[in-house]
Amino acid sequence: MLSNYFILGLDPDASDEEIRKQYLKLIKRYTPEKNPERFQEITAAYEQIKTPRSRIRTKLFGTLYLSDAEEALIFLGRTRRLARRRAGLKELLDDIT
Amino acid sequence: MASKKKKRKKVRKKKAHLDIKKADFPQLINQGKQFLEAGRPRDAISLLKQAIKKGAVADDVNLLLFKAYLLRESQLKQKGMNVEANLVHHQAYTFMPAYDQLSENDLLTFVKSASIENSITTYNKYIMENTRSRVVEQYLAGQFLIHQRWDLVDSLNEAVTLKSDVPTVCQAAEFMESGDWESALASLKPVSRTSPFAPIRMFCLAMVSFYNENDQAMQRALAMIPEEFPLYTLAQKLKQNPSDLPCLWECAINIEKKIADVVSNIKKNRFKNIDYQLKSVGKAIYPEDSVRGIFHLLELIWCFTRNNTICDHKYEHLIKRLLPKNKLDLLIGKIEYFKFKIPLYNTGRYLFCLDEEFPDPADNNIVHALILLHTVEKIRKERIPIPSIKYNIESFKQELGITSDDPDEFLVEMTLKAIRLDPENRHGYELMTSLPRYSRQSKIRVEEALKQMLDFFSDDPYPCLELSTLYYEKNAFRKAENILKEAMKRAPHDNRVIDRHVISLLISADNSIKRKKLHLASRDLEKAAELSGKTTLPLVIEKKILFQIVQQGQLSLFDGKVVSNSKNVRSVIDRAVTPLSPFEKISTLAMLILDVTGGGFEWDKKTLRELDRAYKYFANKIKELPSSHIARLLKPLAKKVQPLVSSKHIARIILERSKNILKHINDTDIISVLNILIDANLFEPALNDIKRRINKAGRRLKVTLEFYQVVIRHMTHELFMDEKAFGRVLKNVAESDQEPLRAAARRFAAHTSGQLKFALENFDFTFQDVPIIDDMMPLYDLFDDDKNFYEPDDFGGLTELLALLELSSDDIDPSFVKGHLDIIIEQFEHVIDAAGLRGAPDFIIRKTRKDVRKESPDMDNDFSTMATHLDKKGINALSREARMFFFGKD
Repeated sequence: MLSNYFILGLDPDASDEEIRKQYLKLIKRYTPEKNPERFQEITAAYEQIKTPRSRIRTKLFGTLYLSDAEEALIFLGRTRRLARRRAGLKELLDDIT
Repeated sequence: MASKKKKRKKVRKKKAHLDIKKADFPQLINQGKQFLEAGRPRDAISLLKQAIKKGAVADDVNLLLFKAYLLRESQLKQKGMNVEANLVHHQAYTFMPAYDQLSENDLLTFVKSASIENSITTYNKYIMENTRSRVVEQYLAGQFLIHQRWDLVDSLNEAVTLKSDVPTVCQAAEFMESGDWESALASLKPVSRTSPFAPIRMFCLAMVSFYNENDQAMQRALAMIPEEFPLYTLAQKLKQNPSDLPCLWECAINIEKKIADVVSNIKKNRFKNIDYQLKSVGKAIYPEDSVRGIFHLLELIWCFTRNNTICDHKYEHLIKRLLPKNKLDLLIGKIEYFKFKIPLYNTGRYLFCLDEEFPDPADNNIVHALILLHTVEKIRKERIPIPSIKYNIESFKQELGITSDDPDEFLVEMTLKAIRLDPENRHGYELMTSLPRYSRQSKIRVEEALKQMLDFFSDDPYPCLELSTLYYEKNAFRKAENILKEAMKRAPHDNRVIDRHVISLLISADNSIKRKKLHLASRDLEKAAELSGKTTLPLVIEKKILFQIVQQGQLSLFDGKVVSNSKNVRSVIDRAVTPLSPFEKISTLAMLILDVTGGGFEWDKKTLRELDRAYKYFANKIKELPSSHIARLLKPLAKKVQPLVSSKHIARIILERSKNILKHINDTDIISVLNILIDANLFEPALNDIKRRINKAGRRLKVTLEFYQVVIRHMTHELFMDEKAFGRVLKNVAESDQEPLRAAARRFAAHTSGQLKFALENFDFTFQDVPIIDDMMPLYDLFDDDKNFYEPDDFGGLTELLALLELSSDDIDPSFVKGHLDIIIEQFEHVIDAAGLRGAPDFIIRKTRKDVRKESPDMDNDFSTMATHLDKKGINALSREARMFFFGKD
């Protein structure tokens, strides 16, 4: 499911190494003590995509075992927003004019 | 009414005009000031100009006019009237007072609307007359950054200190442009807090905090950016709601709303705009390949068809409109596979277009394997009968890995293909070992898979253990022992390995006892006792008791006391079972009786009576056991233990001796117990218990019991294709509550044949005349002239057996038969396996025997001849199925 990538702020074509790096970076920031919910969300998403086999399994059967499609769709939209994009000053200024 | 208003307005204007004409210039200036403070610059300008005409000193009025024009300029800019604002700015400039009269605020207001060059010139002149303005310098610093006009810095007055920070900020600006806020912040470190560039540093800190998702730190940094700074508006937006800045997010910011619209339209079944919406969202979530995004969305939307939010045909139209042909075929294939209506066909079809979804060969192999394993697992879990789904798979046989025409082989073949494609998937091997493997071919395939696992999981004892089980099934004892040695090398302290080693020693001891080589048996039992843990202790004790009884009159193995004769059987048992719990005592005794009555020895009735007495003594405690323990007691023996005894169905022994045992089973456990009884062909006790329980049972259990009752009565031929009986049970069961009954029906189907089997498999009890595909008797295996039918270790093979059978009864040498008793028994058992009769109910075996006799009388004669040469010992060594098949009775 694409939302797993979005939670980790990754591109859906990210490599094993990129996924791992990003995961380590995020769990350092969102420790279970300070931000348990976010930590759980990140860990669950990582578990789904951490190895080629788990990624494939998720891609293959993610829809089949989905209990609530509506929630998944809304979540997809929301998690996509959570992925912060690098923007330069000019882009920022263009956005407010 | 309107004309009246107009008239009144005209009168008011005329009066005001007259008032202005009459007023002197101080009054006009005063009035102008009031208008200016009230935010009415146009009225103020008009009055102030009148005041100049009436002789007011220009210097007094100019400052007010300057302010009024600046105010008007800002109003016009707010309205977006930039051209007009610029004109007004020029007018303001004409009324600009002398610099010594200009306040800091007025200067800032003027500078804010001036060009950067004008601002610098004005500020240079201003500081000639006044002190430096911090706010104006901050503003100018921001302007340099925004417009990247570092060349203008030199035109600033020498007194302005911001010049010294320019090289640092210039370098940081490059990082800021590229979005590298961390580097920008680092490079701004030398900029002091009092520098006009300090707010830039705060802004960089805010951006770094934003990317670190540390909102608190971001808010703190943004709060320190002054209002006069040019990035203030941006900072405010970031402070209030970063979502309002789309460039900071991976995609269009309103995707959540768009998706919510899509969901809303789906739920209301409005498909008019959904194509456009999905395309837009698809592009947003996957900008590089929007079709991929749309495909993902459509996959999710498919879930809405499962709860009937969207009907299938509407969804079909939708995907046809949105996807290209190749993706459409893929999605349809995938959906049909998920629906699993024709499992093998749907799996083959999806696998056929898998390259489209997983083009990478390595990924493709893993996916292919996963799909095959998922299919096999689901077919097994749902107990879907293969013969009913084997059609239309010809074109997909390659994808499915099916080479055989025998449906019984399909699952094993598919699993083997999955293992070959993805040998590192451990689950594949585990699934493979759990599949039924009655035929020779199945066993060869399982062996191949496990040997492959040996290589891929070089430290894991699992394949060794499973191979040992397989070899024991094939009576290849030496191979089994050798592979267990390998397991011991791999994991000497693994409890599974130790347990299996104990069982292996017990099998060896059992064989030695049967061959009357008691010294060897004693040695193996001692070793087994040394190694055994809690789980295997009852098994060791059971075999020790057996050994002790066989060895009557010799030294006891347990406490060194002498057991003189059969009277001491009881004392042997009592002393042996001391370390066991009541539950273990009963199960050990039951297993001992199963062992003793299973063949191999001729026991005198006295000993058997003693055993029964001992069992009954311990079984008195059954009523004290919890219901779940009793249910566990009745469970068939585990696969790994099965080589120790002749039958896995221990329930038969227990029920024959403890007739009331089922009374102690709770309603919650009864269905699982009934399943055990049916598996063991114990129909009578099952029916009796259902009758006893049915009237007191709750609604749900009652329906299930009634269904079981009708099916069992069909299985025992008490009823025959009684549609009404099934109808009576099912009429009050809602469709949603039928699933447990369907599962039970599929389970029962394995024990039945003909019309009843068909009805149970399809949960359709109309018993119409339909062609029956009966897969119970793949007898062609029996007469397969394959020279590799038996393993080299199996001493001979079918050819040898048939060669023997070709001789007339007079020509068979009894001593030859006696000398090769083990081989003959082994071959008979192989015939049972090959015919798929292992574990089959008695009536199926009888039917098969009848058919064989009818179809090939010669073969029947050969078997009968062979059977007559077996002595009682040989007959007892045969399994129940073999005895039933060759002699017609157990």
